[in-house]
Amino acid sequence: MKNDVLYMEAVSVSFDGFKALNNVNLFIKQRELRFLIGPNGAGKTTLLDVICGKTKPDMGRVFYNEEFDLLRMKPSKICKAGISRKFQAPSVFGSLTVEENLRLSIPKNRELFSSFFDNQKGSIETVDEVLETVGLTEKRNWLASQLAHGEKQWLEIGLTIIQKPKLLLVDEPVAGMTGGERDKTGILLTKIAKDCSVIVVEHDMKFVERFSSTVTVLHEGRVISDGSYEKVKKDPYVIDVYLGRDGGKHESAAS
Amino acid sequence: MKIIDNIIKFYKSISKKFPVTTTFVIILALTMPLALSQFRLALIGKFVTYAIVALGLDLLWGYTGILSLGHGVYFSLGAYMMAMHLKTQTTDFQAQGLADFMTWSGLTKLPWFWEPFSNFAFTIIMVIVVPVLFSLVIGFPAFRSGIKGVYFTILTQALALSLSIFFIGQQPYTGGTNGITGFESIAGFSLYKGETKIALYIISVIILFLVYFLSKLLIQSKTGRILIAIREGENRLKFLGYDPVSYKVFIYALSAAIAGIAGALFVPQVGIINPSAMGILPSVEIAIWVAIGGRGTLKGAIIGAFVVNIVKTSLSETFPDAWWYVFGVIFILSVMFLPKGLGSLFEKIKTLVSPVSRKEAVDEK
Repeated sequence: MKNDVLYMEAVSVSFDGFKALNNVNLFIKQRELRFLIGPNGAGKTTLLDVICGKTKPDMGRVFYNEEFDLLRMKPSKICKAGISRKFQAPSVFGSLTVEENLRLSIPKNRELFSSFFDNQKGSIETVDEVLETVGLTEKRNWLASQLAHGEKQWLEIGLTIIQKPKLLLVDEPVAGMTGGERDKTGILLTKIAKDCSVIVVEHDMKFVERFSSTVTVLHEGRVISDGSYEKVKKDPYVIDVYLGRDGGKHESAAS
Repeated sequence: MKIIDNIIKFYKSISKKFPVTTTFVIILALTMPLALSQFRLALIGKFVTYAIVALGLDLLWGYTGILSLGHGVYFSLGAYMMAMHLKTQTTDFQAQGLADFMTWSGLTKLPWFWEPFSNFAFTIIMVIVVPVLFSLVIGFPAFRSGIKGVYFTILTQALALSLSIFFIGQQPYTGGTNGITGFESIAGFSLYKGETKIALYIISVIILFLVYFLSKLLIQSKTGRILIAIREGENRLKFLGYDPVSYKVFIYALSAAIAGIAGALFVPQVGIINPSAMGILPSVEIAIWVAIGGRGTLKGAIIGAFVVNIVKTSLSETFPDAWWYVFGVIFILSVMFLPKGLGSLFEKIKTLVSPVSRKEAVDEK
């Protein structure tokens, strides 16, 4: 577990007897870009839920940076420790501007009393920097609700990276995006992975092939394979349950 | 066209520093006593206290997205405490050491919890403290255990219903169904004098604007952004490292305090408080003022409280039975055609008239 940002051992989650996760191990290194793939109901989103504290597992151990026991922490605490999450459906604050959305996400003055006295003027460089990274500089004064679907996703990625996380969880970022938007998202995630570890849940196999470094395949709550995309692609079990005989051509297996 | 542009620009730069409409409304409100009869003034004074509660509910509902249909409770708590204070100032009370309704119910000694209310300053403090404490008792466990949306609203309704029944039942202590009435003076000034009435009205207006400006300050602060963020995506906010519970408890308590203050201003001007002010119907009415005026705009809450009550008064003077039908029609129309409330009417007209300002309105936001 040395140098692992995330150490997840023998984690099991069940909902009313249904095993969403079954004895899952997952180790994420620093600055690693890891893709989680697998058919619907494989437990990918549940896995992210466990990491960010939304779901408590029945069994197992989850450590972050070797010192934090995530199973004993509330979501807000986990977030403060450096784990950020991008949800599947774009969730930004629609009636605030793009810039206000980002300012709100700066990890500063988050307690009730300190928030009264926040002058909302500082950290302009940080906001500018993130706007630049996610490509929304032009639209900083737009209401978030006026953005296109893809832009909302980038804004939400912006909300998470402005927190300077050590570990970023991203749930299906390119669902519903156009080809150009997908490329842009992939490049953005690769860029982010230079500073922090990123776990991406994704269905789009073309996207995974192009941008992944390591892939973990989940099926019915178990890890059935992991390694490079090339290696995973040739795994007969993975082909059987997920990719199919045509080698992953049906990229949008879930959509 | 250039000249017009420049005029608009000039107007905008001025109106940013001195909000013309606001200044005008303040002056108008403060000069009202010169133009109106005492009866009408008392009526407007009552509406001013309604507008104050509406502001409080707007902070909670319009901005934070938490609908309370039990704000009559906090209004009444403030009102009952002020009423009891005024009761202790009557000659009758000072002769007997008891309020008239207590004597009728067979009490021989003033209940201990009413005793300190003979002190004016203590009463003023309690008018804020008691609603806040009460709201914490309700709000803290509710928000902590994740009760939200319609479930919280139902909880507040139950609160309004049970507390009003409780107050009716406790006749010796609260005056029962009749409530508390028959006041003579406040802080040594006779309530029958025109000057006292004007002073009470002016104080209410000042407090209304004070609450308005402080609310505006709050909304423009980071706290205000967080409240809006709770409305728009509480989960997202939670995973940005915020704890929405503390903010929700705070805004619920704040709006309870504002309602308490409004209640305390209501009593000396109207001269009576009874349990009908704390039940479900009046609590729903407050929410309707806010909805008609415009949720999530402070001005809208004030406009809603005034418009609805002015229409209500003038209609129920002429057609007492028709009022509730008209009320329903106004409510339906405003929900259908002006979902952002009457307050957005001007903006809507503006954007209809010139497509340019539509773009500007977007840019400004």
